[in-house]
Amino acid sequence: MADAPYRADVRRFSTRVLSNTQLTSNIYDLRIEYAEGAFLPGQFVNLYLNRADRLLPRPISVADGGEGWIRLIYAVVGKGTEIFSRLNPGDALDVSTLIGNGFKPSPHGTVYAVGGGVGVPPVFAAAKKEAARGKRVVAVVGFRAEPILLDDFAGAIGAENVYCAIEDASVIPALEARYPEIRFALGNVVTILSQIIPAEADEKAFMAACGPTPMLKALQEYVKAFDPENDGRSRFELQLSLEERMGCGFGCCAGCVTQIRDPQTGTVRRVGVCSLGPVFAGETVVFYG
Amino acid sequence: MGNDAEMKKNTDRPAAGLDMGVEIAGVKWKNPITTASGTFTLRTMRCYEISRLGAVTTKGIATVPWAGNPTPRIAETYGGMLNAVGLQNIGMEAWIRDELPVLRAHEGLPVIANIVGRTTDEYAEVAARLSETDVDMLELNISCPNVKEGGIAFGTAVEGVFDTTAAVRKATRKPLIVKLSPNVTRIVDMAKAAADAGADALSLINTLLGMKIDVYRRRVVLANKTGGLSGPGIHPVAVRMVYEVRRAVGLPIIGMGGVMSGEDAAEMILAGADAVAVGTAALIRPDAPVRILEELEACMNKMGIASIRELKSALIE
Repeated sequence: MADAPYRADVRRFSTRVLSNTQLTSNIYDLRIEYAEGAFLPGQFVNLYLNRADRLLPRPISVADGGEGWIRLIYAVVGKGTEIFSRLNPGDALDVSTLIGNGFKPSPHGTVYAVGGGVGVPPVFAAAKKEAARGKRVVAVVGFRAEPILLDDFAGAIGAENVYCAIEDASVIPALEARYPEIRFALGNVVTILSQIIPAEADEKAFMAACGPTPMLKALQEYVKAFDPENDGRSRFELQLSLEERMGCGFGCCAGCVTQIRDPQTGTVRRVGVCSLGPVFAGETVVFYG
Repeated sequence: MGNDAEMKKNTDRPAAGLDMGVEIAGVKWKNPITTASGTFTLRTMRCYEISRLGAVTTKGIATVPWAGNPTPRIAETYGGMLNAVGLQNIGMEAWIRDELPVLRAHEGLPVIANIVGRTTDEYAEVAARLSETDVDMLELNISCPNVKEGGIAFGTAVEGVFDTTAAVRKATRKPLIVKLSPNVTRIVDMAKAAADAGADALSLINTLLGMKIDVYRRRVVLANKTGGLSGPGIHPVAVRMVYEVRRAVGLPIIGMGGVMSGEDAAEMILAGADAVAVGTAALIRPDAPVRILEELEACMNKMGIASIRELKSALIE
């Protein structure tokens, strides 16, 4: 065996809340002390409640991070996340090490960061990182009525590169007044993509996406139409970050499987979202139903 | 909470002079802690040093790959969780090729292969094939509540337990552990049937059949509808069943069911278990099995007990 002392790379430990602010009616922005601030966009951490009625972790993707901290943006969807919403600065919180395979760095010059709802935070992380690598990043994000992270996107990639789809027409005038440089459209992210991406362009581009399953399915279909060489390969390299109800959140329980088609053999296998994902090559994901 | 603090202090002290070794059906384990089937994968090696375990127990292995159930497969409950994974596995040939050598590389770590089947013949086929390998022990899973055929269908009737155990016994000379279901009226009858059919050891309990409904969505949470309940909420059921089986059957017992701490492990052994498996705890705290081992040592020090053998006979009645 190796001489180096064993060090587990999946660990659970206690840390401290730096801030926990409400962004929308049900979305919160949590910053915690975290020694390993260097994360890959798409990676997540497990948050633990330490309660007999909430034993399982809540996996939350990392939206941002720096020297000694990470930022986790989460929606209140049940009792567990409701308890998180009451955390105050200085409170102790149990957390895991960074987990999962993130978005891989774009090999192409242009990056489309496409997110929906509470799926936007990991996409913001990817956008920020790719912009820092000198890529041209266009963000296309969609929300029902209450957008998040728009100022952050504008700061990271330039407001002129941010597009926001809204499903509730009544809120758009107020949003346009508040964010004059960001373009809003009624509809969903595909509505915007159809408007801004010329059908005849053939430049290769990277697309990092996370959001509700119908959105991811729609993107999978959308990129298929761009096949400049007519060889079944889209000009968009699509990467999808998936969500699935998890048990352990680190690859030991086989709870959170998704169906992935092997590009070589065509065989569909069920694999763990937490262990082999959450980010998968877009064309390999076989959605349920 | 006071107990926890004391426990922590003791954990830091080396467990000098403790004899933690056990022997299960002729196989020596350096300590009584193993993993509960379905909660250990090769990824566990990223959570703690698995060579510190007394033995390692794999996820269920079938003749061919099984896809398992659709998702959601997991639901949270008070004091535990429901799972309906449905024995997803890569099949025996892939397991022998890809996983067994990785486990075998850990010297002094017995490997227990958990085997599953849809029919008695399939169980026997897996057992026969694994008998050609250097696996140390087989654990017969006739108690999984999440598959339509096999699993619990065999484990909840005396004839089913007897016939499956007998068929596998015929197919292998490896030490054979039979894993019992708690979803029965009298678990002692099942234990006796397994013993009569040639089991070398028993493990208990598998999960309890349960269901969870999301009130506001008005839907059953698990895609499979029902699932297996595990976690600290089932621990007293497990302790009771280990206690009953110990008094009815002489075979070694691997006790499991909601073991979350060293004290829970000690409780299992006091009830009559020879070894203890940690399952759900390892899904909640990645290094739970080795943590529980340390806590068990601390607990024994506190009790003034020097060996597992002594602990096993220490219950005052």
